[in-house]
Amino acid sequence: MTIKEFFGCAFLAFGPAVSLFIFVVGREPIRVILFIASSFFWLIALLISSLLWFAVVPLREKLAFGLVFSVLFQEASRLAYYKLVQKAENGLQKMMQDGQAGADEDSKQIKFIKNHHLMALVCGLAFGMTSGAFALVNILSASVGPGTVGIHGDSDHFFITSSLLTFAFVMLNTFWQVISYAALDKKSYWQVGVVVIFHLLASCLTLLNNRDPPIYAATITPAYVLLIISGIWAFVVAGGSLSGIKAFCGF
Amino acid sequence: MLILLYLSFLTCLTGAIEKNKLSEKIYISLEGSSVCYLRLNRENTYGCKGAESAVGVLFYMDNAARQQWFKNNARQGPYTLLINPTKNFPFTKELMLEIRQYINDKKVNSLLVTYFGNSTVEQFSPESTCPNHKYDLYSNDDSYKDCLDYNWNVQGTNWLNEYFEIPILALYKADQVEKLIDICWKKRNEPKNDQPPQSPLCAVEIKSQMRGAVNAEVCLRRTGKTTNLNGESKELCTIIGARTIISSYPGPLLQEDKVILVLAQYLTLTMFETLAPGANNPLSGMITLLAVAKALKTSEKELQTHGRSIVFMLFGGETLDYLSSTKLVFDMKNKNFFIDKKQIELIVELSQLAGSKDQIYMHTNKINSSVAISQANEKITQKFTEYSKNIAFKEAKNNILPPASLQSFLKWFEVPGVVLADHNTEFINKFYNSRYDTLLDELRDLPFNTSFVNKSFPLAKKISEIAETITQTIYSLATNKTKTVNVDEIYVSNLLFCLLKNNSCDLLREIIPTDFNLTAGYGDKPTWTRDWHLSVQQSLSRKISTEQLVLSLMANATGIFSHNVTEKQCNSYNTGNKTGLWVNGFEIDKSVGMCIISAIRHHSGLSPGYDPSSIFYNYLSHKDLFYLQPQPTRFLIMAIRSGLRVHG
Repeated sequence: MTIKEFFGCAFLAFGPAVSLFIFVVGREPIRVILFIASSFFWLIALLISSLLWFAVVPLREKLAFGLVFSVLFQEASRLAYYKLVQKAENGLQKMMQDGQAGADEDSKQIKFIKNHHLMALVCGLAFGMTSGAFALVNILSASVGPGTVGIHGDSDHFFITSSLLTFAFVMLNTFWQVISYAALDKKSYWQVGVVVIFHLLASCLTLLNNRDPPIYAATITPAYVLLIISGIWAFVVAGGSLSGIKAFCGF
Repeated sequence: MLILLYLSFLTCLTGAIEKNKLSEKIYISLEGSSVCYLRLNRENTYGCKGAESAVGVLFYMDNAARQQWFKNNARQGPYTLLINPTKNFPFTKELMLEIRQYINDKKVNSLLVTYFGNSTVEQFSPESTCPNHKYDLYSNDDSYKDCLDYNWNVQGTNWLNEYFEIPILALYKADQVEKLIDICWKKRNEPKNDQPPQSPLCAVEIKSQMRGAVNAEVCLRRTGKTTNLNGESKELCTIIGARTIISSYPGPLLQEDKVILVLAQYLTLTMFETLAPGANNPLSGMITLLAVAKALKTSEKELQTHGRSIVFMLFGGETLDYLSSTKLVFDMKNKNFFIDKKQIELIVELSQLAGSKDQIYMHTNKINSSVAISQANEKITQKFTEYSKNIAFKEAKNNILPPASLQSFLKWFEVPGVVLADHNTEFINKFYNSRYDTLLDELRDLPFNTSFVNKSFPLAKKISEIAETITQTIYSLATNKTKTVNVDEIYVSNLLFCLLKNNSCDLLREIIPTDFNLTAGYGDKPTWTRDWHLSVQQSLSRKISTEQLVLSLMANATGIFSHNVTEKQCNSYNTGNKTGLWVNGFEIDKSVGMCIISAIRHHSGLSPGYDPSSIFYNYLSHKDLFYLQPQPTRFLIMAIRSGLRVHG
């Protein structure tokens, strides 16, 4: 039973992200490189957050403090990575051209580098998957068993809530990356600000899970509302439209 | 690179913290458990099988109705049975047979037994009805072997000599058991209105892996092997045994000196490693022996002029088929011992002595003994009767000996010998070799936190009187003279208190070596003393070794405190057959230490059958040695869908 719980939770949290990785990222080596680099940037954000947590001894027990700064560091590293990729764009293009003798402007790789939305998707997925892995890996290892949560009367929805939240954050990070890179391209900075606020909002709501008893519905519902809003927004930003969907579906 | 290293360190750190918090939501860990170990010999496995992780749904059985319900309706297994033996619901052989059936059916995969002292049960003994019968004096005698006529230990269940294919643990902390029952049983698993409980059920996980298996030979062979899997050879089994502690007045100084042997035992064997109080068997005998030894201290000169020596021996390994005495006799045969068989004039053995009210029974061997020996025995028993006062020394009705080390000597040669015990043809002790053999009822008037007992009490008085009769008889047998001797009743009181109730007391503190640690008890057990459990022979330098404590007790009883000796002189003291032992001493404020000079020595109690090439072959000799403390038990909720694990 606990083994089933483990696989259920793992697939729920990482299933969509892994399929995206396989179908979008894994096809091109350049995307994998950008993916790994992006997750490294998320790790740097984690490092700085933990250093801060480690240094400020009196506030160690206060989750909210660490959480807010962690969100800010993550957003900062998102911007830093944008800067890096922007600077590296020409170099990357050159590399692609050198690698493929006689490659023309329309080759797949070059297209990718020029298509900022796709690149943002790859980098955002890396951000999301890394943060998701860190959030869930301990919980997953405990879910193998032989026991499950609840000996002191805790809700037995703990594992499924954790997986649902992890899934939401993986996708949210992907959408936010797409939104904020497009906004940075257009220099429309208020959108970046909205993303930061969204991130803070979603993260701070998870603090409700720390209460006794935890209010899982109060965390999950707004997280998924944010997910839907961000998803539509990212879709629109990337040039999607209702007629596009209709055309895709063949109406 | 450095950053990465630091990062991985940090993630590990945070990971560990979070997991701990999470596991608190999943598991409760319980303290206060004692595990039943495996024991291997040449042919077989005894004791309980360990488990890397045995998970079973908890079922609490404390009355017959629950037992019945479990038999008919429990289908959500495998189960962990928690049994609470009481007067109304004793842990009987029949119950164990039923559980064995469950084990075969895989319905039960682990067993927990509560232990809250002996007020909860009337009788219990895991020993056989005829202890050690496979290796006793009568094992080749068709009409007396296997106790055909006598069942010494009527309530014996023989579980000590059986093999259980599941882990069995005793839980001895009341609050922990209560917690388990509250959280796990009452809230989750208790059937309500005869209906099976709803999932998720509460289960128990036991981790008590034992590395040895099959039998001693296989285990030793594996110990020596280096495989790809373990990388290095690890010790899987270590030999069981305990030293024989010996002291003497004045010790046979000449070849023609005659010797009177006074024997007793100091270790017991119970189902659970750390729950071995061993009060009546064997400590009552040992305490009496120490009292006798102390009372004879002033008679050393007279003994010497009569060419007699009195040698006191305390055996450790006797509960396993007379291991120690067999080894001693083996060495004596091969002239590896300081006494020769020809020198032994008489053997007196002190068995269980605390049980009876006002009589002691003298057991002698009447089977196949020559006329001369029978006469000598009769003379000795008469002497005992002659010197007895309030406590009558009577001849026992049986014509075979009860379980006693004397049998090992008689197997080899004929010698006059008498076993003194509180029982006639069956044990008075209802808790022979069990965790309930505590005698705490007799000591209930003594406050636990005393460091010195300054008044006598009935049990001490009884033991002192028995010791007095024995002392006078032995003195008279050795010298043909009568002498009034006084047994120190306060000494006996303190011995009883220290060894049976609380071993952190003045008497023991004075006589132990300076680096010895007395507070090695386990809190919250019914008694707070050492465990008198026969296990692996320990090094004497180990600071909590029971053998070292017995050695000190013997040195104190038979030796003298010497004031003007430094530690260096004491440790190298060797005059005649006397040696020095550097101990705390009674001038404890000065923190200097003192020297006890006595004729103590110790003799290895390891089985001669240990050497596979040895001709001396058929001895119980080895034990599994997963001798690390087993991991604590964890309890957890486990989701089980009913119907998934139905058997039958």
